[in-house]
Amino acid sequence: MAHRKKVLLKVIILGDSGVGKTSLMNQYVNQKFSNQYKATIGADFLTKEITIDEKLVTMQIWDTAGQERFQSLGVAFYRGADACVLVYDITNPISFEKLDSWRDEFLAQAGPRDPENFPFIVLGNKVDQENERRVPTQKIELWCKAKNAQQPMSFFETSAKEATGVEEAFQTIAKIALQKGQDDDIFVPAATIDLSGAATKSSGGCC
Amino acid sequence: MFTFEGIPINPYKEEDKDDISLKYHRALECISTIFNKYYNGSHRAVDPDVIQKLIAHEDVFYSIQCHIEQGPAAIYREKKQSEVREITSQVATPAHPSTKVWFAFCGGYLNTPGAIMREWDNLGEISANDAMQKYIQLVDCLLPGWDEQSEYPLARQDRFWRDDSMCADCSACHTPFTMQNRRHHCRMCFDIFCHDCSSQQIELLLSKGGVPRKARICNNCKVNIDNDQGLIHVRKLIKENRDIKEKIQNIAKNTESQATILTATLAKLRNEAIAKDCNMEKLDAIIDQKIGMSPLRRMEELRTPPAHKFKPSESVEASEQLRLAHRQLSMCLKVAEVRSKKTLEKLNISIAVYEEAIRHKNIRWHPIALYVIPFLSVFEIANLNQTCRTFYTFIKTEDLMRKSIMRQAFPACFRPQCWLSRICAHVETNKYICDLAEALTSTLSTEYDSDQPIQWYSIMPKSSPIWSEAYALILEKCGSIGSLEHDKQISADVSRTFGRSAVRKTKRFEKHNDPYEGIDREPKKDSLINVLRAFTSTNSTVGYCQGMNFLAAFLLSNVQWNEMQAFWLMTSLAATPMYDIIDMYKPGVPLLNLRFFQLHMLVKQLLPELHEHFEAEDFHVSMCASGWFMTLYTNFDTLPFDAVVRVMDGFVVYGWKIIFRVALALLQYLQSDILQSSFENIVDIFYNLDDSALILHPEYLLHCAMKIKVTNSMLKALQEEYDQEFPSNLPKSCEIGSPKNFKPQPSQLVLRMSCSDEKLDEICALS
Repeated sequence: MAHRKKVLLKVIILGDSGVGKTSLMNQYVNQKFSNQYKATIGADFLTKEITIDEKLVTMQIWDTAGQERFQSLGVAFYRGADACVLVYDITNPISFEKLDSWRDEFLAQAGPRDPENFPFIVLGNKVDQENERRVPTQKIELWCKAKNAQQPMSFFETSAKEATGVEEAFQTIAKIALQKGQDDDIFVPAATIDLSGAATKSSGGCC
Repeated sequence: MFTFEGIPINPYKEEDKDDISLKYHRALECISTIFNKYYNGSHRAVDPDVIQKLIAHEDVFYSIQCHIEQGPAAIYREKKQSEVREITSQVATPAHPSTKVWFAFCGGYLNTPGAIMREWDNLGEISANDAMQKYIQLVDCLLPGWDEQSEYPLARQDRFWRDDSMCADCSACHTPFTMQNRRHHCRMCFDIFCHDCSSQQIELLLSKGGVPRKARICNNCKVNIDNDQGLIHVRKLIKENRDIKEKIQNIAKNTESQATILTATLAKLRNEAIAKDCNMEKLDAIIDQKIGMSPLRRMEELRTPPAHKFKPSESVEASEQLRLAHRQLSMCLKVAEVRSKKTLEKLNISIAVYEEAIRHKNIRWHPIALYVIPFLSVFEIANLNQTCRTFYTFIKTEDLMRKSIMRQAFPACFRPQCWLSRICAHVETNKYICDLAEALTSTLSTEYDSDQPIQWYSIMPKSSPIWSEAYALILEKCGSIGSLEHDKQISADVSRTFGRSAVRKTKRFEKHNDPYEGIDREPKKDSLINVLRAFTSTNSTVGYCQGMNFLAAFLLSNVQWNEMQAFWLMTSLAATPMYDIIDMYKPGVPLLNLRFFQLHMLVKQLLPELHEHFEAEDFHVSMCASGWFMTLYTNFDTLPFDAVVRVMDGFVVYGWKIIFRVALALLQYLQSDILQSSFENIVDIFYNLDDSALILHPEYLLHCAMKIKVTNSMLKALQEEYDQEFPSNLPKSCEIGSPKNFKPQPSQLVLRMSCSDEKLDEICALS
């Protein structure tokens, strides 16, 4: 397997329509916020170069359309994703309840090799509207634990508007994804050896 | 003077010479009465303001009076001097002039003191008639309304202020006056009464032309005034007449001022039109035809009948006359209102005609347009309704219609109209829409004439009430916001329709990302919500899908934000199988993946180099094209507004192949840039298009697009390939560009709004 020259992390942002996916991406990449974003049609992405553990990493962040009927488009965008950011709106309980379906849909469509340990991160956006909060923090904590008891997903409460927690959240997901990627890199050559071994075996068996 | 259907509105003729003399004498009487009272111990019986004004001009009054009675000052002086000379000649010794001489000499001037003499000299040698007019003018100016019947009672002009010493007891009850029982003057008859006999106060005029003042009157006078019912009525009429007169004058004034501004604009436009070499004769003929032949008339001043025509004692006759005047004045008011409206309307129409003609001259006519245009004059185009009819008469063959749209051989204001007529050239669409409207009309209040086919595209120029009522009904069925399944999403997206697009930091997007910049958004948002709700409720299988909002906003902006028109435009688009809007937006967006596949394959066929690069970079067209397909470019991420308008022209005429052609034209134009870019930068290229990029010029874009060979049969073949490759994703109906194979699907568009309706059942049964 050819060694990757630069480290590229593909991160997908998922969540219901209007939870603030575009805003989060733009806040993280451009440090800008606007109330006036157009609804995302299909998907769009931005890239950002960051340094993690003295390593230069290019993050390719994919922003997707939130409306349910666009989920079928996912295949093209989800392919090769290294991490997934699930976003919900703390003022909108429905967007929280949909997290399950977003996660399942993603795993089904992206088909990662190790779905159990695929790096997810959960963001509860719009904490600037604390007084309208409808999803308590405990609930998301429980949800994260329920999904994976040994290694619960990490979650952040963020505000794209006030840039609260955005930087940390993306840093975290980058770290997790990188960690996972390194594990895989170790794992991949082994698989190659395994495969070749199997190939020789089978050829030997044939003879 | 106004004439209204031949009846002279104002029966009171101009006063001729005799009348002036009469009027002068009335004025003279009025003025002398006041002065007489003032100088003869009755100063409290005249209005203080009036007398103050009169005294200031006393000299002028006397000088004019003298001029009229004695002739010009020079002649008078000559006469007097000759008298003096005669007397002096009789005196023996001039060194000791006798007292007679002094009197004779001074007398001519003593009667007419210096100030009066000076004024008299100033008059020069004007005729007696002019002098009278001058007098009347002065009185008119100082004492407005002196010659008219006032709504307030007038104090008795023939009576003087009674001297206190003349009466020892009350004139009414004859109670002697004492220290406690004081004397009071009645301001009506100027007699003296005790307080009990003159306890009331009314508003009256002390002198003609004065202002009404609250003053004490005796019980007797009060009774007289009250008893005179006719007079009360007369007063009321007078007041009303005066109000009407004022209104008419105001209208005239306002009209005049507005007309002045409009006339100036008109003159400017006319010059511009001449400069642009418009056919002025024809233009004028159009204006004449629209305005009608009646020339613009100026507002004439209206007058109420002068008071001397009747006396208060003749109140019956007076009220008769006043009632007549009132009727006529009311009529005048109506006429004035109508005329004012018409005057302004006419000016506005003229301005509109000129503007349209000038705008028209600015349009560059394409060869095909030149071929079509001789059939319809430029000036007919200015006339909206007329031209629309003409337009359809001559562009009925489909080919001509196509070409005229593609080459923009129509004024921009006709664009929605042209789209509609093109869309409705599909028999199925027309039938579907007409059925839908017909089903609705049975529940509408407007009488629908079933003998005449509904002119479906008649909604554009002249809204038939059917279309607006049908739309209103659909909206009504939608209920309040929040009652429909998709309302939440719609509301969320409406505010995100007019926004700035994401995230790219480019020059172009700072400036041009938002074609709706500068419009007042709040009412537009409401319109957009209404259109989307109406559309989703009539297409329940589709519901709301992101992307619709951009399309709807774009259509709305093309019909000047007329919800009704935008709704029907969108509905007809969706009802036409050729455009496949429904399958595009259905849940799961079944058509979108097909579109991506088709584009992918077309790139492979037509731009192989680019295809290789995409493959190498692992770039897929879907990463840049979802907005192109889902919103038909109307999210303005790639193309600016003007270009999208032209693309939509093409889409309406040719269907999906134009969308592909435009996409391929864009890719071809940007090919060299893309080939040098890595995966991350490819998408940026589409956003980074410089505003001055040639490809963004609407005509050039269309020109490039039309050169690319993408045909409906190619798309069809690719679709079949796709269906074989991904049978699970097979969309049920996507017969691209083949309206003949259309099978009506009433389920696609909800007719539930009138479910109980029998007529609807019939339609469903038919289909």
